[in-house]
Amino acid sequence: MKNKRYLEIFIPGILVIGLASIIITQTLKIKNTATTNRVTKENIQEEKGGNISLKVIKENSRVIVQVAPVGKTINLRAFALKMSMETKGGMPKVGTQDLTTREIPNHTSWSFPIKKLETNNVGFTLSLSGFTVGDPLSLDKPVSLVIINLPSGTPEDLSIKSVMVDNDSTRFIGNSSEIIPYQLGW
Amino acid sequence: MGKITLLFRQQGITTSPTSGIAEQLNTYITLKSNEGVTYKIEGIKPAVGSSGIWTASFSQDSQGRFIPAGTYDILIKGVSHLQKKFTSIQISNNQQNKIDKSTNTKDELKAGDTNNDNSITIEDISTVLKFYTDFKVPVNKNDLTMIQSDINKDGFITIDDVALVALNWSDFVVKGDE
Repeated sequence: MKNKRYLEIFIPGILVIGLASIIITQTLKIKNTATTNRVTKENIQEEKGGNISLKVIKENSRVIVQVAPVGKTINLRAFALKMSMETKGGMPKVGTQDLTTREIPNHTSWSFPIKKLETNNVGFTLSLSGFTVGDPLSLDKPVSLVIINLPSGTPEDLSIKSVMVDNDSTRFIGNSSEIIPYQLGW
Repeated sequence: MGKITLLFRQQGITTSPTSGIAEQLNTYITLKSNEGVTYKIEGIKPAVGSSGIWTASFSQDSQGRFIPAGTYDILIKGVSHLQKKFTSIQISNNQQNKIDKSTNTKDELKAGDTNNDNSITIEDISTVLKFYTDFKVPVNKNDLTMIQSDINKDGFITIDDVALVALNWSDFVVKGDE
């Protein structure tokens, strides 16, 4: 009887403590992510076209260009994109050494025939295309195609002028080409 | 003798080729009979529909020989595409022989042979990359190598052509059917 009374108090107690610790851990994790990335809705540009969405994230001293599947897994074999970002002036020089494409899974099997970064005083234009031979990249979650590490002194007002994914791009070449033409501009 | 009409597809070509390029797309068709006789139809220019279906009609070979009834292996070679063999095709006399290979995607001629040697190698990849210097490079219609590098025949060298030439390159040498 004494044992049963002991269990009636002890088990709910354990459950309450466990639940509380999960909530605290998750809250801290969310807060940490938000603090680290400082990503706000204003600096994420996203557009969906067909089965893919393109997202450009300005995050502290980096600009990340991401693609993500919409609804179903897609096979990414090639891509081509052109993006311009601009400020009101005072843009330091950005070069290809500030680009990284290493976030693409199986990065070593990709080639990038066009990889250009052109800077002037007000901004920069990135031109990038890539393709892979053999198995395409199976895209079932967001993937960063390129990250631009902004040099120190980049003005805070850097914003996206335009993003263009190669017109009529067959990024998913297969037996039935899924053609998703779209152009973004802000 | 009967008339033979062949319908087929070439990988990556989903519309009619651009004007000025279409006229330069020679297709080579070979019929090998069970008796060991070979008939070659060289440099035929099939009609291409708006959905990318190629239609070649003929009743005799390039030497003027009529193709008799029988069972044949038919090989088709396109510009920028590997040769594809269709086996045991029956040809009858005195009637239309419509052979439709356009409905099943596994019957498509595989893309990627830009130098017309019936194989895909690193040479084909590098040829396309040589012309891919910007996102959308117009094809010079007087440059046959450039026309062959425009794999989807849309009149431009784009990332589509780069992806198409790489699509079937799974070994050092990927050969078409013989």
